[in-house]
Amino acid sequence: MTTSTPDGDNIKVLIVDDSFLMRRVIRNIVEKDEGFVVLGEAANGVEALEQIAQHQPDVILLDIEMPKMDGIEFLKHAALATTARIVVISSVAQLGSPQAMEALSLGATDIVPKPSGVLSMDLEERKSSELLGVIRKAVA
Amino acid sequence: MSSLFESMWPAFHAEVSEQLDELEIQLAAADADAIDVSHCFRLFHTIKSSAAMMAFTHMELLAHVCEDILDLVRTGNATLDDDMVDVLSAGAAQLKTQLAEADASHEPPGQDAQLLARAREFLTRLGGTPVMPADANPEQPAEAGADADEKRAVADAFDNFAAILEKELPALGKWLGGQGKRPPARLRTIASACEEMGFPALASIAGDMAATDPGERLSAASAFLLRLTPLVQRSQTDLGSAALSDALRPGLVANIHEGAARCLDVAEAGITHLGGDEAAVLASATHQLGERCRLCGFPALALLLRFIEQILREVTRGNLLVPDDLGELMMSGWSLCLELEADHGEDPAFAEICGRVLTTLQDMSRTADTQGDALDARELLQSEFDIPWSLTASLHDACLPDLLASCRNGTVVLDIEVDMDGPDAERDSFIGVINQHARIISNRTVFASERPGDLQAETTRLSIIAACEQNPGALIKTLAGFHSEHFHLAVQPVAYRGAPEIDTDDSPSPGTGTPGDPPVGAAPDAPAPEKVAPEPASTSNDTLRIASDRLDQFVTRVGELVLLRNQIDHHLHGETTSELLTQLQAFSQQLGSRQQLGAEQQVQLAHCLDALVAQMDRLGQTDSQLKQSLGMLQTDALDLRVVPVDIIFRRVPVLVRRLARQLGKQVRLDVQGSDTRIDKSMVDVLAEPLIHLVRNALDHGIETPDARRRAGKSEDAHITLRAHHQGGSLVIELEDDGLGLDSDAIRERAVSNGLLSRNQADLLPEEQVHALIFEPGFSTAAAVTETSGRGVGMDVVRTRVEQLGGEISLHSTPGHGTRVQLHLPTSAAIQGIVLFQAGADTYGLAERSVTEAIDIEKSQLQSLQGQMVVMHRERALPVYTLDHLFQQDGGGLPDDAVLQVLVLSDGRRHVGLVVNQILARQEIFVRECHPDIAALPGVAGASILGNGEPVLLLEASGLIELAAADAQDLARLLEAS
Repeated sequence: MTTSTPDGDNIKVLIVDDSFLMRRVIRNIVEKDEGFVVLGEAANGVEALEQIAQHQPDVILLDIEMPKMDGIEFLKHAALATTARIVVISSVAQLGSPQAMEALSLGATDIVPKPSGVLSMDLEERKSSELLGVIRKAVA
Repeated sequence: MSSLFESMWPAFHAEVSEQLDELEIQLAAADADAIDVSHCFRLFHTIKSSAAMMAFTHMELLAHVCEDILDLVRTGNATLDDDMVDVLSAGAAQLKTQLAEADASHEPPGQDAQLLARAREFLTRLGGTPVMPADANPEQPAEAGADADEKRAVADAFDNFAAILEKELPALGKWLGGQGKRPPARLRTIASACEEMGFPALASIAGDMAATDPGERLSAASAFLLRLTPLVQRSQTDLGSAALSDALRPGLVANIHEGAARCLDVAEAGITHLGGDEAAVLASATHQLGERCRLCGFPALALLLRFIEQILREVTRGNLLVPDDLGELMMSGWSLCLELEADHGEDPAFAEICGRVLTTLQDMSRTADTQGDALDARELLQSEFDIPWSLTASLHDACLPDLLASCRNGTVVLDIEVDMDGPDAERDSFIGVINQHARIISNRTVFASERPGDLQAETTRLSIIAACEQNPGALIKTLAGFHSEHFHLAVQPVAYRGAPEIDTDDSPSPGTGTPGDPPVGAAPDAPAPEKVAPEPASTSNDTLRIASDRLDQFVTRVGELVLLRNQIDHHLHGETTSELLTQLQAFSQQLGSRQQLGAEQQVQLAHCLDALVAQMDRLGQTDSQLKQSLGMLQTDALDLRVVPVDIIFRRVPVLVRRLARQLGKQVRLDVQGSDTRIDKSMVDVLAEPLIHLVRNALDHGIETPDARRRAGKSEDAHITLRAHHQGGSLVIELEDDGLGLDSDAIRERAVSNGLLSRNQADLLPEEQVHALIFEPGFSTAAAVTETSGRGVGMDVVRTRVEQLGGEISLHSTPGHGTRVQLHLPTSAAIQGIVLFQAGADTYGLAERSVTEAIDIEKSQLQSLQGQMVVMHRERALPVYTLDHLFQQDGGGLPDDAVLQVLVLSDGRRHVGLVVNQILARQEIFVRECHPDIAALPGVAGASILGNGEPVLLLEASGLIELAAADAQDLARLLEAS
């Protein structure tokens, strides 16, 4: 299954998460779809803003809890800086949680709750297709 | 020069030369009035774009300025005079020179700086903002940690940006709010200001506001404002956003009404069984509604919508099913949108309603959610300890097991809320004290958005949940000591079921500060007591929420029990048992009379026999008691699934109000008997047909107030929706006082559809004519619905009602209105069934679908075009065997000279079914059978008889369809009969 933008280019994805492990898991998932290309990773909101200025991602996969600048604060800045779709992937973004509500109100396109557990190592197995589905929908 | 350039050049040169020639001719007109401004504008615009593509920056700039000048004329902001024509002509001439230059050198041409400056100055004088080359404003967004000079520069840049927005946004609002043409210069000013500040997204959205479509314009303006919001919150000024959003308000509110109505349309059609894509569309629509509500100043409603959106997103991913009550609440969210008005914002009462719906929705989504462990923990906390969902929802999943364990240990759990704007050290020492005496389970910052009504609060609020094993009273007292002007706090023990008492001697009463203290901070104090109060609805009534599939399973089990009891009954009272006993008695008498037994043996035998009979009697008695108890149990069990019909009725008033408004009709709705009970399993199936009927009545039945006045009726149409029990069935009735059905139009339609011949149509009695609108495919055309009054999808309505074992009937009087009645069984699970034998097997048919059981002699059978028929009640009744209908090789007709035939009817057509023997009529508990079997045409379900034999339940309408499919001409034949 591949996905692409209307003009046929690959969809450029930026991964923002403070955990190296998590970034790798998400990258693995995203790269399962040949239509996606991961153009960068950032460990916090500040780095993510720098990345946005350099490349123009189509989709940003965003964690909420991060040092320096968290996902919520990042969303406030990103609103001014990019029209990329932003999908929040976070364990604090469970159904109805205040963070989820806040993120949506700040313009997040969709929210994927990470399964509970600190490392979410099973994310790749459990959420692969769901996550890809959400990203495809976000850029559709 | 690149090869790309070489390949493009010829086309570029030819095209631009032609455009410049055209410009020259236009601008050379003797009279300025003769110049086609729009045409010239478009020519400069195209040249600009082409030049940009070739990277001829200087040509692009010049053409751009000329384009902007003409745009001001086009939009009525400037008039075309000789001076302007001069400038533009010079511009066109210079462009021509540049083109020639490029042609000669195959390099990007240079610029006549003087001319460009002149054109720019001209534009500025007219009030426009000239574009600058990209490299003329190299300002980049400020780096974090910049030094003081840079900070100063950034602040200046921001002030400049703010000043531009403050000036331009209100003006833009006037444009967008009114009917005026698009103000491109203004938009460009905004866009370039945003670009300069390093807000490219804002800039590009500002550009989108130039869209010609008002809807797109509104969307772009909303998006712009929403993205600006965080910036506004950080700034001293509103950046002109208030004026812009005020101007957008009427449009947005209208838009919210429309959007919510669309959502309701989708939801009414079946929110409990949304497909993934449908849910996704609803989620996006709800997202937009939420954002717009927020822009219009309805924050509580926006919050509610955001939660509904999240539920829908979970549905999209298949993580959640929406049960009926949850769906109902979600719909009330959209319904609330319909009540917004453009001229005032959210009043406290409205906000409170939204908040209440949100809380209930949050509590409810807990049971609906199927997501992992964390939810289980939340569920356990609620079910075991009455800890409300509203508390646990805000906690991180990882904290939940800890909280659960603390409750199970009976530890005091404190809910601490602090508002502080003091030094960090104070907070640290506060948390230190807690850490010393208790274990912090959760510590989180409460976002401003969670504190509606407290949005301006500058303070940081912490919400801490801590387990305190030793002397909680002392801890509470110590913490209360922190209270000061800039440190407000509220401390409460979480009131879970079985929570230990806190020694009140040295602790303050829960919910207040230490006695004598000033009242604790107003903000944390207000929500806190509510937070820990047990939910009155869920606990004090002793109400239990049960997942409906578990309830169904329970009812099914009870049904199975009843079937098993029937088997006992069969064994106990069946012929075999009593025969054996009689035989045994006769045998014993024989033995006795022949004196083959000794006297003692005889007495023993007689005694055994008596004892056996007595035992059987007792068994029989117990069995009949069992039967009685089971009967009551079954009634009770079925009652559990019974809900007031209000569940479907309550959607109707909103629908009627909305449709009436849309259609410009005046309707008074009367709902009666909404407390009538209905089987839960029927609710889902009935909701849609009912909505359909209401829609039809409003759409086609009810006239406009004008037409009603002309017809001598009151302007307010009257629709009555009522439910009541009649005999063993539930009747739902929808009556209107509108036009009534137009029989002639229906006849016409039936003839043109080929359903009836002209002759048949003319002869068909009125009532049967009306019944035609329930025919599949009869009335999809708009023409007939406009004239006859109704019919869209009525076949679907009928199918649904019949699925439930019900019937639909319709009475209409021209000019006086229409009444549609649905007769439904009280329970979908138990049905009266006629049992019969066909071939070697036993089958059942719903009693209501069998109109007659007749005996016919084989000799009475005739063949009509190869179809077996019998003349019955003066019409030809087609006769089938079950094998024939199911296309199985069977033995043909039974051997008997007299055949037993069941006459089946679907209300219009009749078919005779030959059976070997009619066995009995029974109330049978219909079980769901395997979906593959249920999907077979003609099969309704399965059950088990008293003797343990399984029986397949057939469906008359399905059988009739099979018969109709069998003979192509049969439909016509049946019509004639």
